Amino acid sequence: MALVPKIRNRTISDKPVSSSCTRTSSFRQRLLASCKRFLRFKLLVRASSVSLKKKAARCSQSQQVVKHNDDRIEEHSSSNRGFKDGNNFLVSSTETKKLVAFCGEPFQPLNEEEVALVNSALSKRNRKKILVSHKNSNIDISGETLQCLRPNQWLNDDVTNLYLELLKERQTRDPQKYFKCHFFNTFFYVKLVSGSGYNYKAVSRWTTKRKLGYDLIDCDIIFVPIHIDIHWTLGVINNRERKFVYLDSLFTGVGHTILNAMAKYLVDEVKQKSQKNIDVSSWGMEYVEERPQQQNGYDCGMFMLKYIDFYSRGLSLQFSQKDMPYFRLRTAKEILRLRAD
Amino acid sequence: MVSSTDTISASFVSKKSRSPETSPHMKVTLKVKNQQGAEDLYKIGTHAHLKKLMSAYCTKRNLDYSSVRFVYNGREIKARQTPAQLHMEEEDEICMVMELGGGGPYTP
Repeated sequence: MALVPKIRNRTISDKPVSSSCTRTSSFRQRLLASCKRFLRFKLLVRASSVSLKKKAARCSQSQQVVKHNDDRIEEHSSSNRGFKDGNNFLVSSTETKKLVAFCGEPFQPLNEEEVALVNSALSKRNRKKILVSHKNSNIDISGETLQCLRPNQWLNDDVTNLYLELLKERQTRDPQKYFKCHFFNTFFYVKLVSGSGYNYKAVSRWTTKRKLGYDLIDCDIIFVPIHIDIHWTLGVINNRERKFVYLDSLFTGVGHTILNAMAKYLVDEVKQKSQKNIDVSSWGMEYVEERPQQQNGYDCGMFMLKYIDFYSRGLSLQFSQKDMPYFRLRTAKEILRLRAD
Repeated sequence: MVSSTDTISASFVSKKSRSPETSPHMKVTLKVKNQQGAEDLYKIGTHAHLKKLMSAYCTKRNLDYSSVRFVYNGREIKARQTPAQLHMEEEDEICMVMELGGGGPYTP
């Protein structure tokens, strides 16, 4: 009986392989992986834009117009989150149509051209390139900096400050549409409470009338972005409703310190700039509990920017964690166009 | 804590920022204060690029230049700006702030 030699099944690894071949296969694997990532990102964009179209339609339907005895019309949103009394504002009948249409604006889907613009800006070849320069604020955004708007990334101060500048310009462009707001940059609170605690002197020159063109006390709302360790939160001085508000997308339990610092700042600011003494003891101090909350460890900066965006529009906070991928894309688009919509 | 004054020579001078009332050889002493309140004094030409001051500060304090921000009167200073352009005066204070970033210490 002849012995049959065992034939081993030949695997790919048995093939004699040249070094160039391994290089090619590893390159192919890398290419496939990056293509998969890109397709996943594209699908995410498409899915979010579809859900946003639905959301915008829902939002405009949810606006009910209620006639009052004094012939004024009050806007009611289906979910009155935000400031305790719903943050509704009274408008004339001519403005009603504009406001109902306006509700869809925070969720305007990006078109294909805009998505392509963002994808191109976030690509690796643009890392070292300065993508946009904002003259007024002196902020340059490179491809590297813009990477913080990719999913799962922590928001960076340059992007935050530029976006706040764009919100300022948006308000100047169309003052009827938005509250009169002042947007402090991310360095303000750092200086106000740095080192030995509260120090008004460190920021007293930041808000001269010559520099701003208006007095801080004349603003409806003053936004104070706050950075604590690795977390973004928001302080709001609401002059219209005479209250200090603190918004935190997670609960970090430092609200009272921040609210007190803002109250103290307002008193000192008015005293120095207008030579008036204002009593804020009757003003409300509010930690907003009914607010959209983050469900991860990287979206707090985006939540902070959207709290500002929605409040400056006079809208209640009608967004959630699932809107964040869209908001990141939209913010990237607005920064690249140097125009907040 | 105030350190001894460092003098920065103005080898890079911005022609654009020269104004008739300030000669190119005039110097101004500026304070750089960090978040802990520590101060350093620097003497710099009114028409010298502030990058010289900023990089000197980073070298002295052993900091990464790309991860710090220098703020004057609420505005971030850029490398090619000069004290004259920013109307800086004697003993004016520049704030040094570390780059801020965050996502939230989330615990489900």
